Amino acid sequence: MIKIEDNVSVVLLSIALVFNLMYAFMHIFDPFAVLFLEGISSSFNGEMTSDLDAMVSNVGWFFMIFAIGIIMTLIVPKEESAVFLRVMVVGSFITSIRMISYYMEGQLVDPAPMVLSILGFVGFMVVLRRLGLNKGTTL
Amino acid sequence: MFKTDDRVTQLCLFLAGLIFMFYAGIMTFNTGFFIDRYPTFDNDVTNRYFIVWFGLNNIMFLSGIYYMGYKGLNRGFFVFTVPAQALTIVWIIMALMRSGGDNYTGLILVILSVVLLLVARFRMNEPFSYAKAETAWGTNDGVARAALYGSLILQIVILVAYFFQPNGLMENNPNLEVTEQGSHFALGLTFLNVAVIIALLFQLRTGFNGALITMGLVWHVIFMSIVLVNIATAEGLDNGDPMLALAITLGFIFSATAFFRLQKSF
Repeated sequence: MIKIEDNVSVVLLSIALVFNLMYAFMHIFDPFAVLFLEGISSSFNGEMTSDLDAMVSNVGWFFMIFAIGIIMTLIVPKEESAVFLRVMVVGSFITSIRMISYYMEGQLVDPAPMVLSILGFVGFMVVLRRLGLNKGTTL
Repeated sequence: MFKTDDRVTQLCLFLAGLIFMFYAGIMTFNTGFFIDRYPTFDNDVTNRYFIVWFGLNNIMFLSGIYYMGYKGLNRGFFVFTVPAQALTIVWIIMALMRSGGDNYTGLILVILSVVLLLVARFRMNEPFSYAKAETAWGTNDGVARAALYGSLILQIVILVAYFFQPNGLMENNPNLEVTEQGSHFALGLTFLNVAVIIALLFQLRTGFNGALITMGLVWHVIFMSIVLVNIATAEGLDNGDPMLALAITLGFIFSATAFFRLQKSF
């Protein structure tokens, strides 16, 4: 069923899948989203307005889409996932930089999102390299 | 699609998948709208908790349809879903008898899904006799067998626990209240528990089944991620149902172990 032969990559992608789903549910469901925002933010006043709810849920759905992408990556030959994994490396890199910046500015009081985004970036980069899909590598 | 040229089978499974997708979407992600369709439903935390749970179960059913879409028709899928949906019909009828019958949409759609699944199963041209595998669970992999035995024991323990404490899911969770409707949802989950045990016994006899193991893992990955969300947002480990979290975590370990040890064979 799983077409990727490198066990380390399978483990890393599986962990990424669970964490993407976790962040998806955390953002999509209101009670979790409120608690999450209260936990990480210094300025959130506990009131989930409809427009904030829509945007936060939308972020959750992006995590859900990434989770589906990771499942697809696991069950197809690695060559078919090259672009997706490159996008995830670039995307998680940009997210990491943004999270570091937010944390340094004091907008995030909890470092967990920053740490996880950095770990995500490192994890996807390791997968990309281990599968020989980084640019310049002959497949 | 489904590795068959039979258009009727393809259509039946497509429509059954559509019903699963509809209920997965509406119950999980638009719970308030779902509750509004039933005038006698209370829009309380307990009901919302269980409705989301039932919606996520439909995602598991849907994953089985997707699995067969790529891998071909699979008897194990029907061994699990037909009893599960048939018991759901009984459960809905019981609910309608209690409420006086406020909305028959769910009953009609679940009956339709069972009919669609049965038509697809009969047109599969595969026998209804289930020959015994050479070894229990059809594998010599000791770790995978231990994981599958673990899953079976866990499900039996959950079933027995229901009879000792039918409202345990609510009584053990400080965020929920014991209500009549909540008790009925707990009964519905026990019905699903029975279907899962049937699916595991089927595998114990005929050998492990890719569709069923994959569906089990899909369910456990979703619920494990929700357990992690709860831990991350609850500001401690005592603001929930620790026994449920333990059961989900154990089930996840068993399910993931069986999947990763056996996945090369399906």
